[in-house]
Amino acid sequence: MTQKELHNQRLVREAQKVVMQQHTRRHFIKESAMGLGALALGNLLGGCSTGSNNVFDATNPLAPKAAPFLGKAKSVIYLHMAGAPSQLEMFSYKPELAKLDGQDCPPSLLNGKKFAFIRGVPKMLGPQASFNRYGESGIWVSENLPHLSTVIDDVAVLQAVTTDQFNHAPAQLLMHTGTPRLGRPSMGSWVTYGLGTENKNLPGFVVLTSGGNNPDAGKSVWGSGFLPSVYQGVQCRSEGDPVLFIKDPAGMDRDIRKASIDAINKVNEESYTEYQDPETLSRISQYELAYKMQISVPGVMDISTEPEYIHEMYGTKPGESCFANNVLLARKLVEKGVRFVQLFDWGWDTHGDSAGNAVDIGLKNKCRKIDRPITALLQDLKQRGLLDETLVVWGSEFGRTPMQENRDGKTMPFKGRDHHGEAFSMWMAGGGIKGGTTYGETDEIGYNIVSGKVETFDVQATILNQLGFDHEKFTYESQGRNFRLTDLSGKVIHDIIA
Amino acid sequence: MISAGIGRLHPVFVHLPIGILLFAALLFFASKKQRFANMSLAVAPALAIGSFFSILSCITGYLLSISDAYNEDIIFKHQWLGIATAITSVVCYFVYQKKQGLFGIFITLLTTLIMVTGHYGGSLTHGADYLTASFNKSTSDTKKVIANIDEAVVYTDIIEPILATKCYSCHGESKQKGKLRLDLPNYILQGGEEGKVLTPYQPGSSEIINRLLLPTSNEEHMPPKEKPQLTKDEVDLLHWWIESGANFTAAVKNTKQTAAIKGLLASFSNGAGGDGDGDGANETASILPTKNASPIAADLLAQLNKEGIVVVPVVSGSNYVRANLIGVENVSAQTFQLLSKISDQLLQLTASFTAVKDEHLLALSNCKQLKQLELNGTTITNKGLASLAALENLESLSITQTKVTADGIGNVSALKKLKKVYLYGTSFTNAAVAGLKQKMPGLLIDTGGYKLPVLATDTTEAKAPEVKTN
Repeated sequence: MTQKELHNQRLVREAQKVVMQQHTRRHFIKESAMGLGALALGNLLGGCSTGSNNVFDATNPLAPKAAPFLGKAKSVIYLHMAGAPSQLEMFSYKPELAKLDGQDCPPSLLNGKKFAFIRGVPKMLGPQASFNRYGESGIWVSENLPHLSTVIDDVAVLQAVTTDQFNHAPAQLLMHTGTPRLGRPSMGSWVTYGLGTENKNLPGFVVLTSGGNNPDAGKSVWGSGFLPSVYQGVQCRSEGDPVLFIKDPAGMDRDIRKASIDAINKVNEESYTEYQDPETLSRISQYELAYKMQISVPGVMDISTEPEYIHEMYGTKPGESCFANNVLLARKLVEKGVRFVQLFDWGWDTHGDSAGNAVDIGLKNKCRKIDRPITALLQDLKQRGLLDETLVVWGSEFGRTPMQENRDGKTMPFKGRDHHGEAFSMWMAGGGIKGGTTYGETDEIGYNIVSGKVETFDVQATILNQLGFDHEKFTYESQGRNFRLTDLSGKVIHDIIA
Repeated sequence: MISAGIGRLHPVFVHLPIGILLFAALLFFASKKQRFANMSLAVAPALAIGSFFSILSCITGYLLSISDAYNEDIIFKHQWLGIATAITSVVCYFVYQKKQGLFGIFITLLTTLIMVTGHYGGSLTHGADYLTASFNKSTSDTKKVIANIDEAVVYTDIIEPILATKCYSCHGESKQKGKLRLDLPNYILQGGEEGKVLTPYQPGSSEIINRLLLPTSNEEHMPPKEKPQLTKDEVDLLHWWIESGANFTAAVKNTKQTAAIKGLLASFSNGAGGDGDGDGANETASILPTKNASPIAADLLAQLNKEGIVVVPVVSGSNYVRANLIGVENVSAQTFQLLSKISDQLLQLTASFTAVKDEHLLALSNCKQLKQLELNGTTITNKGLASLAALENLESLSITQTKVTADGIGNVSALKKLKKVYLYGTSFTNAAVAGLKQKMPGLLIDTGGYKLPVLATDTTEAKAPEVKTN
């Protein structure tokens, strides 16, 4: 055999190998004489795209859709304080607890309970802030929130929210996805799936984080779970480029960018005609959205163009990464038609292990960082005529104990409180919520619920209700059954609806 | 007490003989075929077991019938047919033992008896119209559309349909649980074995309301948790009826109404609202006009979309729409011409942050349905504002950060139905706002410019107290 023959033989073998590699399982099924495989596959793929009451249009997944009912709210700004702020220093006024300060916790509160860190018999810890009644409604608010107390008549406070999770990550997942485990779509994903978005140049679901860390549950709290991936939250940064690599690199002009995206999409379209996988269409629309976002996002995410008055109001500092900037951004995004803006602010886990984590020091500083911007947000939405149609939700994954934390049975260097899921406070405003109301009541030390219990599912049901969904009918079929955000529970809190 | 308890076992015992006796019949007929001939061996034991349990069913059934109130006519038939069934099954057993040729006739008779008895039994538990209810949809709808709600009679048009769908099956003609009937006024007033169920004018001390409001987990809660529950709206209406004296003939217009009840009543006349499922978004008492509009033609919709105008129904199934111009690249006269073509359907329009000009707005003047208009952050002036005067249904107007001035603000008063106007960032004057307020006292005027005081705590940090070191 000559060298040439050997070479040709090798070429042929290589070509055969390439053909075999390309001959995937899907080709095999498609080409199989029975044709049955292809039929089954078609069904399988078809199954990906059938929501029970809301058909997923793969060519334009974010197209705006009408809600099944007339909802008051068109968009949501969800402010999540990751780490669990202490309700006892913010919204839950417990004068009786002050009298018990420093006393041993009675065994009746400890029997059968499981704490994240408290061991043995902890001491009770009185409220580390003074309270007053505010507004016409006379709602108790602590001195830590001097600004918010001026607009408390716009706010409905839920005093008896409860969760069965006492660690951050699962509790955050439960609050946002309806299960403490991974894999379900987040609230924002459900909402964008159900309503789409009116501004085709911006994502429908934007996530902004502050406080130096992402929430403990990670990016799954804004994941799309089994919903098509186009509905997952798009995390933007408030410092530097809002989205990484949003600028074209040097030497790449806008036309070349366009040409390359067109080319990629053409290949994707061919791949779609061949495999009919709806995720390919998601990918195509994502490329197109990304291209449009290169123009639209830097504009909308640039808070430096806001007037001085607004910066004063929010306490924003352009160029920095902080909660106030994110809150202002949230307003700008909602104003431009973004459906769901999810904020996470990290650093509320006041165990008392350091001054920054003390309920009488660090918590005060955290409150100062959110009090002004949140109040400004409510006022600013109101003066633009947007508060009626924007639901603002403030909350966390759980609350904190009326006992002082004694990690491993030792006295902590600072005053702190342990995780407490039994009862904590949240609030909602705007979007058809009845301002100046409180719902739910806890016992005189804020340990257990007396009335008006609100489960995480009830919060979700109420948010969906305000957007025009019946949470029991808003489903998506996955793995052979219909799933809901509220799983098998959830009751709309009618008492706080205007 | 004990006999009633045993009686309640009737449903447990009754289903077994039905199955087993029918199975015996099936075995018998099958065994006539050569292939299944050996099945005949099982017929006799099946008949024996069936007979035993059908006698047990008769006993428990009798105990149940004396412990609770049922329709006498149906109970009579069910009782005697049941006894006949039990006797026939025993007879069948002996006839079969003697291998008489008549067995075919007896077993056929038995099968027929089981079916007829079963039917009457079903009528007792589920109501006489249970079998036909699904063909007769109108009876299962609590809520009918009432053309003129003011003239309607509260009891017959609103309350009775609720009772009929949610209560009659146990407290009606065929069954009277707790000796209570709710299907006729005199029975309602009479109450049940535990006394009166309602006290006119006092819903709080009316047992019927208390039972409805108990948590579903409570045994006393009505309807029992496995039965269809009343919606919140339905409970509210019952409450309202009793509070107003539980009158059986009064018309709606003569009955005092709160705002919430008005809303509920309004939903009767337009068929909307109160989704009937209890826990849904039922706050639709609503921006929707009572009459639905004609749908937008598909080719017009395509044109609107091509222009970049987002058009979405305000609520699923409605032909009324909201439009958003945020996606229109060059807002022009043509954009607004297109919008004027959907004037019959357009309820809400958002043109904020677009290049909309004064002259464009004239094209909106035929949008008589328009209820909400947002023009924030545009360059429109007093001229544009004046051209909106024809929007007779406009309820909410946002013109923040526009070039509208104090002189133009008076024009707003031409909008008779206006409830809210947002003026933040315009060059309004306090005098102009006061003038408008005087002309339209009910109007909410938000001029914005809210300021938060600067507090020392806004910029300082709380610090840990100095720790003394020895």
